[in-house]
Order: sequence, then structure tokens, then C-alpha cells
Amino acid sequence: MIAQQRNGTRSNGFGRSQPNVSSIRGSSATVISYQEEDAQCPVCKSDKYLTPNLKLLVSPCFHKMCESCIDRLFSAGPAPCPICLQTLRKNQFMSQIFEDLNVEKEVRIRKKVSRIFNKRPEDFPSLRAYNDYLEEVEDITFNLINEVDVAETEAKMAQYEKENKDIIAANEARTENEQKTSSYQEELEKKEKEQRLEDYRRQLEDERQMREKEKNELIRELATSNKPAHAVLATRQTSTLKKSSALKQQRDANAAAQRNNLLPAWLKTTMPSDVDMREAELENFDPLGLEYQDTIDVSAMNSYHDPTTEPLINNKQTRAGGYFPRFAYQRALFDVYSSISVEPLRDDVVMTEG
Amino acid sequence: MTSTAESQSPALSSTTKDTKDLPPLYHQTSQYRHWRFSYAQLLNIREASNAGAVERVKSNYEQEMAESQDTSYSKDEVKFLTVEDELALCVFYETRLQHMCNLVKLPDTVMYTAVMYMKRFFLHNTVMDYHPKDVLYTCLFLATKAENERLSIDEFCQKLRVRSSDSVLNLEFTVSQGLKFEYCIYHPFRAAYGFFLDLQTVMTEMKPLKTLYNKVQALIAKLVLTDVPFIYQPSQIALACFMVADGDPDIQKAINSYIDLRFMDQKSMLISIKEDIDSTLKNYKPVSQEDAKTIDRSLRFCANPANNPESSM
Repeated sequence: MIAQQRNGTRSNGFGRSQPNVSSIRGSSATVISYQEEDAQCPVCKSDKYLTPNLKLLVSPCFHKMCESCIDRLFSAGPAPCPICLQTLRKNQFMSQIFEDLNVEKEVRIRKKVSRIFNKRPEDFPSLRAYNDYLEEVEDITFNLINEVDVAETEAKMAQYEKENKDIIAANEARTENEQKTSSYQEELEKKEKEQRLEDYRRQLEDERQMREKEKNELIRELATSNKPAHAVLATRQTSTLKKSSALKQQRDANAAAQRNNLLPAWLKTTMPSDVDMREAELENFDPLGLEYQDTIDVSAMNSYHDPTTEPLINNKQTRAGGYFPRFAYQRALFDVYSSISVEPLRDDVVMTEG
Repeated sequence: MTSTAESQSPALSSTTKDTKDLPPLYHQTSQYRHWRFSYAQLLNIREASNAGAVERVKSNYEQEMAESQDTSYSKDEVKFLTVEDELALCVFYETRLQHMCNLVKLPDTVMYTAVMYMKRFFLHNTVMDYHPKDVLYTCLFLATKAENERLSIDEFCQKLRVRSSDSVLNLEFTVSQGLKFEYCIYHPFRAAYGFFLDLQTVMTEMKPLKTLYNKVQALIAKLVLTDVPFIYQPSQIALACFMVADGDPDIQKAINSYIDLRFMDQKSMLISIKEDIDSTLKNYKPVSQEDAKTIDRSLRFCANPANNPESSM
């Protein structure tokens, strides 16, 4: 798609189209914040050598400061940034994730923009319209990153946000829902895997115990009964085989039932509606719901005097494929009865038609 | 979702229960829906396509003469083919087609299908637009494919001594279009086979039945040259052939009792069909080579110049 290609060309490789934003958001919890080896706070000039637990945070205007400086400057409330004089609050500072501050900036701006411009392909009548929309969003992002017409762009964004409040809220809810579903599914899969492993272990244990028990019984039987040894062994062997195959069947049935039970009701209901529809269609499909009558009253006999099917009857090899002369007979009889009762068209009917 | 499932289930159960109310399978076929006519209807269609072709050829001639400045013949002199001429020429080439199939030992089904393709094609097209001697090979080639007797085009040309495969392949799409892309032909042959089997319930002696069956197959091959396949359905044709093929009183009696046994309701209709087919067979005269030659000679003057590569158009 054009949408994906174009994103890569202008951004620094961190540009993601909207559907992928959630994955950034989701994974950010696991990313450890980036700290330089020989970091130095640009405000108080203290460095890692003297204060080993120095931690630099990034302001919304993308300037680094150490935690003690932030405490000192912003504890009393909003204050200007010591570097660019923009008004900042303490809770706006965030830990740095990427080494390059430009990347950090771009990622944050993209996040911010994507929170507002969160329309999806299905909100548009055509792919073309969606691509135009993406182009526009990319322009806005580009302007913000490279600080071109920032005021104008931000006004544009605010206006868009006001106009599309409902859609934005709806899409946000949808994304959240999807995330919830996918995370739940992941968890479910994990659980199931564990369960299976557990089952397998238990199975092995059961089998071992059973084998041991059988062995003991066999020895006891050999010792007590007065049948010949090979007869005892033979009967034993068949019964063991039967038992183990029955056990296996039961196990498979159990596993299938469990898998079906694991899916909760709400997971099914939150699925997109088209999946529902497809499923309903599949459920309601009836292969026997014919639009025509495909049976005749007469059924073929099993044998006729017929030179053409003689090789089929006499030769075992030709019957190996499962084709019996009866099929040919039935088909021929069907041709006899299917069209015999069709009335020929009469001329007076025709004159009115043509 | 649940509501649709509920509303659907009674309908479904009803369809599976009483299929007797539904139309028979044969009514779904293209042969039943699009290629079933009455005699008057056939004549109407043929006259219309003939008149259309005459119009086209006339206007094309005027155009051509205007272009080539050739005044050697005027349009009044041109004698156009009548519907009967066209039909006779088609039948002549259909007979040739049958001979060809016999020579290269293609099965009867292929022959029947090929002839039916020609008949269907020349119902809406005319010999003035497409000469049957070209269409014939394309029809046969299509029929080999439709009837699962596939020959590669090279093999086909070699077997039938066709000079270039292009002449066969070029017309393939045109012919398919003329067939409305409906290639499936229901033959009376399988129905005849069915009757051969089913008649064993009333005829215990096999030898006369086998000779009767062979005669029936020959009759079906003859009937395909007439308009009968457009009028009646395959199993009706097959049964009529069984009724007509042999005048032996024993056989007549057996077939009568068979019809009483199986088709009591349709007996009067089947007898009228048999009478019509009988008279068709009696009135059938093969088109002689001389007749075909004279028609072909006049066709040379009235063939549509738009389809002639040598014309100046």
C-alpha cells in the first residue's frame, strides 16, 4: 500500500502508520529508559562520576535535566524552562527512551498526533480517500517535527479535534477494546500451553503407573493361573492395547472440549461484526437445501445385461477404485426420467412471446 | 444473528423434506432454459437472422463498390440465400462432420455435441457471415474438449487434415459467443442407454433388445441433423427412437407395456412426439452434393465482404 511506503521516506524510520501505534504503546512498558554513560545535567552540571544515581529526564520542549534540578525548579508549581523559557510542570517530564533526542521528539509527536487522527481505513469510502487522509496527517506530523508553521498546524489540529470528537472517542474505545481482546487471547494461549504441558506430564506419569501395575498383575497371573505362559501373555497384550487406545481417545475429546470452553462470552461478542456474519452464514449453510429436485422415483437394479459394464463386473481390478456399474445405471436412468415429462413448446404460446 | 438463524431454519427443513415441490434438476440446465423452441419459433429466429444478414451484406456491398469503383455487378443481381438454402447447406456440412467423426473414430457423443454446436451457432448467425466449412472444425474442436475427448490442436489438425490451426482457433471465440458460452449438451444417447437398461424389466430376451438399441443409436445420429433436438428433450427423443426403430409386433407390444408401466401420465404426449419424429424421419432427405454446390456457388456472391480478407474493405 502507498500509505506504508510513504511513511518510511520522510520520517527517520520510526514513523508508523496508525494501526501500529498501539504496538508502540504496548511495548513501551518493557523498554528501559536510556541513560548515557557519562551523562551530565546541562542545568547544574553535575555528572555521573560525582552523583552515581543521576537520572536525566526529558521535558516537553526536549531539554534534559536531572531529577534534583526538576525538584528544585518545579516543586513550587509551573516555572519556565531554564534553557528555552517555555513554561513547564513537574509531571510533564518523562524518562528518555531513545539515545537521539530527535527520535524521541518524533516518536512523541507521532503519538500525540495519532491520538487525535485515529481514523481507520474502514471509516473511508475508498482507499484513495484514506491515502489522502494519511497524507494530510503526515504533513501535520512533519510540520510539527521540523517546526514549520507550528502555531498554524496546532490550530488545524485543534479544529480537527473539535470537529471529530465523536469519531475520535469511538475509535479510541475500539482500539482499547481490541488491545484488551488481544492481550486476553495472548494470556489464554499461554495458559493453554501450560495446561497442555501439565496434561502431558500427568499423562506420562499415568502411563508409567499403569504399565507398572500391568506388569505386576501379569507376574501375579503367571504365578497363580495354570494356563500356558504364552496364552496369558497374548490375552494380556490385546487388553493393554485396547485400554491404551481408549485412553487416548478420551484424552483427545477432553482436550477439544476444554479448548472450546476456554473462550469467554464477552470475547466472542466484542469481535467485529463481519466475523459474526461470516460465522452465521457458515452455521446456516445447508448443503441439502437444494433449489431443485435431484431424485427420481426409480432406482437402478444391481445388475442388467449390459455389454459395456461387463468388464467392470468381471474384473476385480477395475472395481478397486470404488466405482460400481450401479452408478452408471443410476445416471442413465436419471437421464431417462429427468426430462421425459417436459412439454414441448406450442406454437401459439410462441407467437405471443416473440 | 439468532433471529436470522431462527427464521431460516423452518425454510431449510421444508426444503429438505419435500423436494417434490421443487422443479426437476433438468429445468436448471441451459439446454432447457435457452435452447428449447417450437417449430414456429425456430423459423422466426432463422428468418430474422437471415434478414439481418441480407441487410448487412447489402450495405457492405454498396460500401465496397463505392470504395473499389467496381461496377461489374449491381446489387440487384445478387441473389441472396433463403432460410431453406442456409439450412440445407448447414445440414450438408453437418453430414460431412458426422462422416469425419466416423473416420477418425471419435465417439458418438463428440459427434452429437459438435453437430449441436453448429446448429446452435447457425441459429443466430448465418452462413453468409461465417462459412460452415470453417465453423465445422471449430465446433468439432470445441466438442472434443467439452466431451472429455481432448486432442491437442496439432493432433487435431493432423488427424483431420486441416492446413492451419489458426483457422480453427480464430473462430473459437466467435463460435463460443454464438453458443452463448453454454457448452453443455444433453444427449439422447445416455437416455437411450437408460431405456436399454430399463426395458429389461419388460423384455427378457436380450438379442432383439440389443439390435433394437443399435438401431436406436443410428436413428439418434440421424435425428441430430433435423430440428428435433431443439424441439424435444433428450429422453423423449430416445424413447421415440425406441418406438420407431423396429416395426416388429412383439417389440411394439413390449414397448407399449413398458410405457404403460412407467409413463402412464405422459402417454398421449409421448405418442404425439413419436408421431412427429416418425414423420420427420420419413420426410428427411439427405442434401446431395450437387445441391450443396449450387448453394455454395450463390453463397460466393452474397457472402458478407466484411469477413472476407480479400475484399477491399
